[in-house]
Amino acid sequence: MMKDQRSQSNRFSSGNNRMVNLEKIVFGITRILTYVILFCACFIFWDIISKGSRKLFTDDGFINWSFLSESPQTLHVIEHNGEISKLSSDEYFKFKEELSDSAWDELNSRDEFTKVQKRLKANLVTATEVTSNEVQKSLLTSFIQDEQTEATEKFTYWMELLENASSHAPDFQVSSENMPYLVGRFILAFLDQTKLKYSLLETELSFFQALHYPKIDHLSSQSIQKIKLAYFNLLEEHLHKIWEAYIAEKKNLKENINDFLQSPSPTSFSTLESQIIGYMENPLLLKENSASLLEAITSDLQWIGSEHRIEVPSKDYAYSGGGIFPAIAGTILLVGGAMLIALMLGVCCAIFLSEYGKSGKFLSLVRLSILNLAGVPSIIFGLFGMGLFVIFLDWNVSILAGWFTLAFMVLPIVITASEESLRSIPKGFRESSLALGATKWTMIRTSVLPYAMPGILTSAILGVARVAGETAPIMFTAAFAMRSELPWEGLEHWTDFFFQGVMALPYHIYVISKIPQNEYTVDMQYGTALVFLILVFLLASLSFIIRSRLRRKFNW
Amino acid sequence: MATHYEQILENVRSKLLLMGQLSIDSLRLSLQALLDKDTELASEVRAKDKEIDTLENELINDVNVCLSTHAPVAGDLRLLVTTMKISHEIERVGDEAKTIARRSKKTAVNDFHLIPKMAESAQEMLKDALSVFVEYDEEKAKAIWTKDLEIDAMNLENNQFCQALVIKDIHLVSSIFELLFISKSLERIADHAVNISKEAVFLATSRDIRHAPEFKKSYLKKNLD
Amino acid sequence: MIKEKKAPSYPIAIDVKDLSFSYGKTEVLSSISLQILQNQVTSFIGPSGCGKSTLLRCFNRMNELIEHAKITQGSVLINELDIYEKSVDPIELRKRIGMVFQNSNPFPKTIYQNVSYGLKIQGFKNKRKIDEIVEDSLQKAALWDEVKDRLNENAYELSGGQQQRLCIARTLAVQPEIILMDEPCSSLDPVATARVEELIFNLKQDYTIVIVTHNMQQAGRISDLTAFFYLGKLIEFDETKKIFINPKMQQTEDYISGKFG
Repeated sequence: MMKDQRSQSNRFSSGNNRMVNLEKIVFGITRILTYVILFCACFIFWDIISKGSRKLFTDDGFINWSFLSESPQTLHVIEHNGEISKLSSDEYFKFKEELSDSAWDELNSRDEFTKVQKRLKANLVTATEVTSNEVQKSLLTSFIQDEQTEATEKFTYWMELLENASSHAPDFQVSSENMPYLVGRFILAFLDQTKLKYSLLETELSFFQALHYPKIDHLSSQSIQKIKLAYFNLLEEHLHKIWEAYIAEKKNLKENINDFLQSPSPTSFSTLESQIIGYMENPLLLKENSASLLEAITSDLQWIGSEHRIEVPSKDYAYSGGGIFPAIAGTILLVGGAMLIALMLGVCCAIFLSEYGKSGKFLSLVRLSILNLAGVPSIIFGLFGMGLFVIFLDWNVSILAGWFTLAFMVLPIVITASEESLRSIPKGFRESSLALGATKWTMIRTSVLPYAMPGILTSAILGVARVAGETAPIMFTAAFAMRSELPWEGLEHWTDFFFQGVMALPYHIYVISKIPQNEYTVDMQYGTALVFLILVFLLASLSFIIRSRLRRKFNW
Repeated sequence: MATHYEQILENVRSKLLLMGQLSIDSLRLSLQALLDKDTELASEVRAKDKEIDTLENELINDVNVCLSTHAPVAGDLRLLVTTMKISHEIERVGDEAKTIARRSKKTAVNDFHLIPKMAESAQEMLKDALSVFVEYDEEKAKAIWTKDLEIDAMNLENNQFCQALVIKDIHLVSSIFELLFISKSLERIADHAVNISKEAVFLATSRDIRHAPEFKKSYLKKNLD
Repeated sequence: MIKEKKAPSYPIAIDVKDLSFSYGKTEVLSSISLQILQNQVTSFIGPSGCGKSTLLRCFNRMNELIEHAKITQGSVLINELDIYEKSVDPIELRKRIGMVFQNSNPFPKTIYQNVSYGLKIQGFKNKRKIDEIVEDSLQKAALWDEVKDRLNENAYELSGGQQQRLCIARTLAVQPEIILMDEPCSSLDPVATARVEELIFNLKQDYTIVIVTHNMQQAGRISDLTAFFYLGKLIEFDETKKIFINPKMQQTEDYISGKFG
């Protein structure tokens, strides 16, 4: 009985052990490979998350919002009172300011400072004593006369140059035809140098330049004379304007002096200091023969400055401080715009291919080209974008160029996926629609396209991941390494928004990876990479949510 | 609201019942013609028979169309098949009534003995058979078969009566023959009624009892006695 | 002599004159001539691939959607106008001739939106008028009582038979004169089929109906006239009663009794 049972079971047990073992081996290998891939993926993600979260999360466990909302800045590493701290540029300057504030307070309390202040006050008052208007005016006029004399010498020099053009030609290595042009340029450069420090006259001078520059094309001694006369007239004419500007400057200086003397503070001190130093060269604002006074004033100012300004030496690391907000904003803008353009173009193309096209050689050729487009390396797209949008259409490095380049790059994915989803709509919808008297476009619009939307948005998900991560296309067409303004700041006209470049995350990662590696830059790199991953994930899940809602609405 | 198909079946059923009613009327009128010796009634019977024939044609046509286009099954199929057969029986009843009316003109005899009773019984049997067709009642059906035995008995008695009449007065022999034929016709009408009831049994129970041994006359007779 | 009642004569709705049709190089219909009568149900029967669906789609020019499909000779006249003439707009034609398909395919919209689709694309804006027409069509399609409380539900919640009746209602809403049906009951169970057949019988009072069917018994039950096709040729076209009781052609008899096809 038992034997029978055994032979019974043996009849059905597999006798071919070799096949069984082979199957086990194959199964084992595939399993191992899968686990290896899984392991590598986990390792990559773990690496980025662990190193990036050092930057993304503060020590308490909250999100480091400053990282996400600031612009990239230089990192300053300072050692102060035995502590090492990492500060971004803003923080660094603020830190220095605080230190000088506390030093100032300490300075204020010292007797020496009071003495210096008294001396300074006396000197400043003497130096800025009001001289009589006539004296001042005559000073001003003589100053202008000096200017005129100097100008006359120069004009004469250039006139001689012009008249003896041929003899000086070897020195200047110019032909007789170009000579007037070059002479004119030199004269204008000289005129620029005689710019007085009063901004009013500067404006007038640029108008003067504009007015007379074209005439310098046909230069002759007569026209030089004319220009000289015009220049002198200008000086005369605007004498009173210069006078008023000078009065205002002096008043400003007096106010700053009073500010400082009444309530000394680091801010009022630095304002006064910069103004005084600036005026050292200009005798007009200070009393005549006040050179020695000026020296005393300057040395006092320098003493005060050195006493309260504390230098904090720092090691600077470019790009390693601050945050990456402009890059995030730039990436979102680029991705959003590119996907919109790609979807519009791609869906139209897919509709044509699947609904309107007559099957034949032409259409197969079109489909083949689209498939090939998917295989083009992304740097070629970058060069194409640069050639067409940046240079030929003269858009320069701009968001618009970046949008179109990225859109073209992701177009094959969108077209093939959209075509697939359009095809998967059952024929019955189309036929019933047409049988009820719809035109072809109405049929597509009402009974095909809405139900193909989930599939099309799937392609958008794939596209988003591709578009957000590409560096090469945007390197030439849209991305700046560093831009101080956000894309919506500093626009004169609303169309300027499209013609400006932006920072972008992948390019930013590239940029910070080029600088020398050290512990600080590593943090920044991984933090950026982690934020980048999360951003792409969020963008993809946005399309995912839209797709599932559409699926529920249009389910069939 | 009845569907189109149900309407067709209802149509067929009503036509058959109409035929049945006409045949019962025919029979009644022919008896009346015999008793009153009324020739006008006789021609009315003839006209009714024509009507019955026309109806039968229509009915057969309708049944044909329904069978071919609707391909009915089960009860509906039995209805149509039995309708065809019953219509044939009823048409025969109409013919027999016509014969009776014809023969009633030729007979001069005044004493009809059991013939009126037979006619009465035959009419009842027809009525009952049609009602069994409309609504199956086993007892009623069995009563019809019992009645048939009675009519057979009455027919035999009529034969004997006629034989006696002939012996009495040989000159009346042709009239008496007519009487014999009339009796025979009535007996045949009763048989048709029995057939109708048997078809009705088939319609209701799908049992074909036409030639079943337990319904043979001899068997029934034995059980009665 | 059996006197047959004289049948009332109906006007001709579609007149097919010597029509031949081919897909590319293959000829699918050869020299078809028949008349579809108004307010009658005409059925096309025949084995698979004999061209009955193709002929049906010729009536509302749905064949134009297929590439390389063309009429090689003959004409189709509706109201004495050749519908393949250049002056005839197929879109307008399809509004006068409705079509119901084999696989019931309501749009994945609500029941109301399904029925009012044809009106919406024509530009009807008056909501009350649309409501009226929707209710009327659903009544005619014997579906109103079942769905009047749930007009805003998705059409796919209905059963198969109800979906097919919804498609019929959708076709009726556009108020066509002729309704073409391409095997409307082939994917339905017998109960749903019976309801649709009853519906067709009631519709024929107001519409001309042409139905293609694989099921001979269905043709027998509902149609007044039957056309039998085989391999692209019209073999026999006569009253249904006559074809089913005594067809003239042997092929017809073989097909009807199930000997082939």
